[in-house]
Amino acid sequence: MIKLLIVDDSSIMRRTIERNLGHYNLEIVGTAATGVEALELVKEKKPDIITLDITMPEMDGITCLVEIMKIHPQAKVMIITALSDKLTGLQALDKGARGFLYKPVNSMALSKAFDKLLKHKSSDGTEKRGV
Amino acid sequence: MERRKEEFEATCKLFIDSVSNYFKVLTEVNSEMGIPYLKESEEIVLKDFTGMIGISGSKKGFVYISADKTMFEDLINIFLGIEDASNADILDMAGEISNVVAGNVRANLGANFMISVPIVFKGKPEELQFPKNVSIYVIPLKWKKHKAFVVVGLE
Amino acid sequence: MKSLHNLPIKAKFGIVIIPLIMIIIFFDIFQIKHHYYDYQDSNRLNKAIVLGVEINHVVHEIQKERGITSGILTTNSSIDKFKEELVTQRKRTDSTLTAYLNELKEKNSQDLLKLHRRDIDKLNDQFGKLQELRKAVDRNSINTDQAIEAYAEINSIALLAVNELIKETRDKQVTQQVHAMIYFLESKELASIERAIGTQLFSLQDRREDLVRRFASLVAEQEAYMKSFLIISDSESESYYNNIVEGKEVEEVVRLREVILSRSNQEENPNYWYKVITGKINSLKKVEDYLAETIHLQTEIIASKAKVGLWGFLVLDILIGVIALLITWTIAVNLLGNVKKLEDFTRKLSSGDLSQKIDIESNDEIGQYANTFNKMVETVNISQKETQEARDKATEMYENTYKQSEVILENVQQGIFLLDPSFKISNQYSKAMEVIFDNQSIANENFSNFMRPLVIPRDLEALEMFMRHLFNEDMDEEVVNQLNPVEQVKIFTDQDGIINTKYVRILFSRVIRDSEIQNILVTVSDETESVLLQQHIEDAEANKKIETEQLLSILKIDPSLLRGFLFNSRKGLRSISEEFERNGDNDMGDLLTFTFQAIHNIKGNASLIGLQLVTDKLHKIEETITSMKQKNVTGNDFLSLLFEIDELDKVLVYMSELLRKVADIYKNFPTTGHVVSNILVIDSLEKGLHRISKEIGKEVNFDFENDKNIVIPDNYITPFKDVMIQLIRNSLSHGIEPRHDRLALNKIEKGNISITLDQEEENEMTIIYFDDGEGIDLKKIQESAISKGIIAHKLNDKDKIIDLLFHSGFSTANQIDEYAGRGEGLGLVKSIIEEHDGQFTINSEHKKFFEMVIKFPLKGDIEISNEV
Repeated sequence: MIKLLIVDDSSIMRRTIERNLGHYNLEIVGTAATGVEALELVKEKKPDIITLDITMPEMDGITCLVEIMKIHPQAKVMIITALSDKLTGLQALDKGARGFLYKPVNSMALSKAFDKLLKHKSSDGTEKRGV
Repeated sequence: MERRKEEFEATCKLFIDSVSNYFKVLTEVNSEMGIPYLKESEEIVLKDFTGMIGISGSKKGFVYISADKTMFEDLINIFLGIEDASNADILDMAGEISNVVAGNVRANLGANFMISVPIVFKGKPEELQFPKNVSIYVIPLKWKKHKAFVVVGLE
Repeated sequence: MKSLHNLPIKAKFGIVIIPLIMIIIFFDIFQIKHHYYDYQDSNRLNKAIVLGVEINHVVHEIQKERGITSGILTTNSSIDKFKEELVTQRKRTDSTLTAYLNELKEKNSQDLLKLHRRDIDKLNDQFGKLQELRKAVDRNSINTDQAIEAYAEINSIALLAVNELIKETRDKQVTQQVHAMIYFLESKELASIERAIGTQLFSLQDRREDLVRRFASLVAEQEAYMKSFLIISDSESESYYNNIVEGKEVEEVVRLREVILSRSNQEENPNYWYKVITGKINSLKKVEDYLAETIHLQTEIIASKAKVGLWGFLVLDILIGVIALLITWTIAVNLLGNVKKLEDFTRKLSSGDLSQKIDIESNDEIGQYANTFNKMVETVNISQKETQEARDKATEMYENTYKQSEVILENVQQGIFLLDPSFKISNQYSKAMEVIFDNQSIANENFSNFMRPLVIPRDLEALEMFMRHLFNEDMDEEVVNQLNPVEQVKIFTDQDGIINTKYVRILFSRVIRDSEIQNILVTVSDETESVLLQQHIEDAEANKKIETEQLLSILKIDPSLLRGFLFNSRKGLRSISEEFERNGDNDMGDLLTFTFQAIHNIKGNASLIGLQLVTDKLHKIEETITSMKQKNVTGNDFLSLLFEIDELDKVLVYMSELLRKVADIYKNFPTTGHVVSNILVIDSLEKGLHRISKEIGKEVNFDFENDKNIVIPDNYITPFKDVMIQLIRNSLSHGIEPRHDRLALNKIEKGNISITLDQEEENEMTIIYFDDGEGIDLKKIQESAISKGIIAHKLNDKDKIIDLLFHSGFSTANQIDEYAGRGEGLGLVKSIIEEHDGQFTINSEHKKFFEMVIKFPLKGDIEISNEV
């Protein structure tokens, strides 16, 4: 089963994501309101997929992402943020994020993004050149 | 004059569009805009809960969304399907809305439009200070039966 | 005929010209011949005369010889003297004969000989007989008569020859002379025979009757010839003859003739006869010589004339001929040349060479043909060019079908190109790229280098990352594209040192081949509405300038008035926003009406103190409201109105600040309390009144009466002023009639407006406003109200009708302007008075006056000024 970690400073958002992804065959291994919490959970649970907000107090999403990739490079990180600054988004991709979603995100958009991410994961078993 | 007016209207439109987009995308119910009015900083009005974002960079000021508790409860119910939202949830909700709205506006105004993390509060805190010499536009909103304000104060 | 048609032009020319030349030559020859004949004739005549003279000499000598011979034979004696004389005479005759023969041998006589061969031969034959005759005389085998007859025969032939020789001449005068001379010669010959016969008769004892008769006929014949000669000869010859043939000898001849003819036997010496008659004959000979000479001269003159004529004609003829040939040649050469040109030209045309033009400098038919040809060629050229163009176009279109992509790249408005994995721009890119980026070196450039000077570093950094992710196959294209940092980007292009700001949209999509990302297709569109933007900037700058200037104009306005105005206006503006906040749920039309009244009131005040900038802005806001009233407004529409109000408020704030800054200047002119305020208010009302009346074009007297020196308390100054302004405006636009209307109503030309302050009761202040204008037309008000749908039926109560005036939206003015208002004026008056707990009544008589009495309650004491 695919393990999912949700990181967002808004509990409403965390719960909304959780709720919207309920019909997937996912195991939500945890939710985190801060970057620090998130890193703890990554270390501990090694989630396959992580949704990550960027504007968070204390540790911002990008820093958190860098740290996550250090601990667990195989994680597929999906950024879900309202901060639609492109550079920040690109930096996230640079740092290893695999998906990107703008808030407000409704269930449809979220499902679609997850479908893609999961499809990618399944085709990951075959060797890919130039990665 | 005309250019500034257009600029102003464009900026206001970004906020209004962002808010109405929020409601539309997440609740599939359109919001309605009421008749806007001007306010002096000392006589600003707030509803039950407010999420506020500070703006810095090329434009300085603030934007906040203030609404009664029921509206946030209604939203939370739509998102999570729960009836009994806590105060913390409501504050969280207010912060999230203003965060998304400000974040979206930033995408359109560019990197020089800096936004802070949302400040959320209930009622009107004593220590709350609004900057002087900014024109404060109060844009009343109606979503479902709820009334809210989007308040834009920009230099 | 057809073969004639087919001849080349040159030959045709020849056919026309050659007969002409032949005719000319023929005519010339004829002329030359004529002249030559004249010349030849004269020459011949000349020679004939010379020859004739020689013959005459011979004849003359023969005549003498005959005379002597007849003398010898008749006397039949051998008088030595006669014999001697005869020998001498014979020698003389022979010598003249030799001379004649020599003349005949002359070279130039040959032609003459040829012509008169027969006569000359006959003559020579006769001359040949002379020797035989002489022998017969010597032998005495011949009698006198026979001898004379023989001699006469010779002479007769000789004279005939002469006659033949000279008579054929073409000159009439000469011919006449020649005939005269022939007559003369005949006469002379007869005279000579007369001598011989006479000699014979005088020698004989017995004068033989037959001889006498013969003598008589000789004389008669001789005289007849002589007479003929004298008739036809010219006068000169006649007078010459008369001069020469005269004298004793001639008279003696006449006397001796009489002797013979009278048949008397009177003895006369034959020698004497011979002597005198020879004398006469010699005279005749002289005349003969003269005649010959004259004719000779004349013929010579004619000959030389003929010669000159011939040569002259020849020279002239050649000259004319040469000139005629020359002209003909020139024309022919020109004509044939042009024909040749035309021929060459048309040959070139037919071979397809259309680049030539024919150049014939002539206006004749050929020249005109040439022009026509040129035009034709031009037309053909144009149509050929068109055909070529059409063909080119067709070719182009044909190629287009095959090079469609290229054409698209050329013509598409968007910048289109491909990126390779090293971010290099493809060789082929759409033309629009160069336009959008003001750059020609695009092909093979690294896109990130290409964009470096155009965007801010942050965007460039983002772009580089973005492209990298685009080529990363692990990344979902959609995810990456969400983060396109140049989806809308401001670029700074440099064109000849001028920096242009543009807003471009750059979109990327992957080009996948064999399930690998081969390239990225990039599209660029220019979204700058640069012209519009530029206009806005310019407008803004112009506006700013006007505003600054007009703001400075506030310095001319009384500061206390201005301060009051600013305070009240800001309050008024604020009240609008408050109304929006308070009654946002109310009917939007009501909100707009409220806004309009508030704005209108402020406008009245601004106009009154002459604050044009603010008046204009307020007027614009009024227009915005009016246009909003006419459509279905939403909350969004109010934003624009609110912005305008806020902008105006900002102007007012700015003016307040400005006023504070200049306050020091006014410190020396302190405003001392209410009295001053009062004076200023009245003063400003009067100024405003005159300004408006001047602009409307109605002359008005203003009268302010304050006999009790009432000072309006501070709290009433603003409402007082506001109400008065509205009333004044009302009077000027509706009340006071135009000049000619007033005169028709027997009113004084200038209108009158008066304001009176009074205090009838202690706790009340009375303000009486009066104008002598049209007053209230109750009928018109009712009609207007009905047509506007304010009331349904006519009203009976006068007060109720007057109340209609205060209905919002009621106005009888036909057009809206700054002064006439928008039907809100009196409504405003009413609300101001009521707001301050005042009361009012209206008195009016149609076409006479309008009066409004306003009463305000006074709290506390009213200040009565002691100042004057």
